[in-house]
Amino acid sequence: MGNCLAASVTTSTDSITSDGTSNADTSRQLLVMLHMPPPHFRPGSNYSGRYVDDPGRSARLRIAKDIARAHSLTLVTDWPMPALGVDCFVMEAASNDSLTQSMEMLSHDSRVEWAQPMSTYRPLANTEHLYSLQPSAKYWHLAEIHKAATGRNIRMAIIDSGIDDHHPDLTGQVILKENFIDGNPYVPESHGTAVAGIIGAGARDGAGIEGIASDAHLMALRACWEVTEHDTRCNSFTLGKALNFAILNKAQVINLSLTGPPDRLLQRLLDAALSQGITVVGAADPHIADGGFPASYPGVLAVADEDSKPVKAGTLLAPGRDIPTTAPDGKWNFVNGTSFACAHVSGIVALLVEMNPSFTPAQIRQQLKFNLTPTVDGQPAGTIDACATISKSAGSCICACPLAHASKVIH
Amino acid sequence: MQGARCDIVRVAAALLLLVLANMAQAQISGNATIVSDYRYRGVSLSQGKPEAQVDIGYDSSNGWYSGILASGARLNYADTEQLVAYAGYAGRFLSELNWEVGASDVRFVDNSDYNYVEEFVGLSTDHFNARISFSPSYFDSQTRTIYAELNAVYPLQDHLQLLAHIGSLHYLVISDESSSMATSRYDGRIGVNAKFSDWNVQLAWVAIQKTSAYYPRYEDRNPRATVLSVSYSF
Repeated sequence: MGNCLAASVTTSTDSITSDGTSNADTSRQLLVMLHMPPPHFRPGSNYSGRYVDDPGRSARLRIAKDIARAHSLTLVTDWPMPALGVDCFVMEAASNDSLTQSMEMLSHDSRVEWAQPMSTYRPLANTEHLYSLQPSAKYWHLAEIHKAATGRNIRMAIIDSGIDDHHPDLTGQVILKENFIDGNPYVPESHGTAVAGIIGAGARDGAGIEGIASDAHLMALRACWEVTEHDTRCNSFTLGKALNFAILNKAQVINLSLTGPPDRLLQRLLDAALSQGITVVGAADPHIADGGFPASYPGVLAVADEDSKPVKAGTLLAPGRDIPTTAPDGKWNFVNGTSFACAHVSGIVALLVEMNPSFTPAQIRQQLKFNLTPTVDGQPAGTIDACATISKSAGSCICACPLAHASKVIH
Repeated sequence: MQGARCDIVRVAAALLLLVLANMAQAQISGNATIVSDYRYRGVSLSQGKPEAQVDIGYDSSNGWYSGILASGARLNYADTEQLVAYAGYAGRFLSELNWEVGASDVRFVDNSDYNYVEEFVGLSTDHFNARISFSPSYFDSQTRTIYAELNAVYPLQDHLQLLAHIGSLHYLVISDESSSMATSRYDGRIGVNAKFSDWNVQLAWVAIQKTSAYYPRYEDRNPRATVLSVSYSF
């Protein structure tokens, strides 16, 4: 079905691991996909374990070594992706020139399902202190909409940098943590912690914030890593592993507050997620006409900051400026960027999934309502009207009913 | 004996043709195993003795698979070889749910009286698989059987898994020869598997229900056993 190769498009100078998955110089790396047959019967004495000690894995490793040798590549690491039926091998070329040659040769190698460059992704965020406090809750009327839904038990996969699950607002909210960056231990990081707070900070009296889906079950899938305080990176391989995990572990919503180039491996995984009814929310890059990938991918809910103009038709607008949220080491911070608008929409999607558990991603999209004109509390026209959205699913008025919210969808 | 070998050669030749016909993205894999006691569905096919096994499998890119297992065995206090040719089709319902349908042809080189064929269907996920097998003449007993099994794998650590198996053999029609036997019997297996690169080490405790429904014309003296196996995948 496929293989995965990734070639980085950046030239960062940091180096985290020796396996190349988070190494600075991923520009010479590629992903090679080998077909992974479904598990099946094999006779023998270990009959109950044949699905465990799958000899096919050893065979594919042998084939990958042969391929690497034949194309003068170095085998770096691998990761099975049963969600796609492929084993993904990371290989590295000696130079950028040889990478191009290798890609060409691999495209004609019948043993290879597909090969692709390793792409690099980055969040769309700025965590500097820029503006004064403006509680985002006033736009979303959390107190009111939480009377109808809180995202209870919705499995929300946050594919991002590390989340501080010991933060006072996040304690007990994260049901699992997984690290997909080899050789780089899981650590709490700014971007992931900020996104997690907006989506799922617990509702507690006293200090702190409240997430849009405060009763959601957060899956902290660390596929990105902080290079510096303001530079966070991910790549095709780490994101692919995290998406594969989210699909296999029955996530209901996936938040992707990041952007980069189109990528075959990630596209295939998004197809698998969407076909299983998982709603995927992606941050749209305001500097790219179509919003960049994965926001531009069909079926993904693309989200832009409500101050971003112009945006591609169909892009959802949500608050993305002056957002108070959680920060590592038990702190709070104000953040800005499309990443956090994306987190807002993931939060409200979790509420909709709770209220409409059988809805497809497309039906969830149709539940969203928008403000046709600027609101009295300062939201621009075209932004998501959370009250109207939740009221529609609830079948009754949730917020200030006399001010009947607009219900026209902006296209 | 010669007939069994010829049949196996024909099956192997057919497999080879299948391999050559569709090499693109096809994979050949194998497993070599030393087992302290060859327990098959709870019954020892080696009379408690160690045996060596080699399994070669072929997987096409479109879901078809086939293979052959060669194993030492011991029946009626005489050493023999068991050859199992198998083939089937495996697919995915969803990314986490797989299904398969297939058949196996089991032959004993020096004891053709025990040869039999079986067809099976199965479902599997990451941690479970279930399979139902039907034989029109199990161990050539002229007795139709259905064997239902459920297998589970639970990861304990990165390289260590807990394994569990429960199976039930049902006799659909009891032949005159075995008319005094029970109509079904259960077997179970629990163990751990440690994986080190291409090597697997399994330690398992195997048990079979004490009934008179032993495999037709096969004597089983030890209903419980601890089995150690070491295998190398390639």
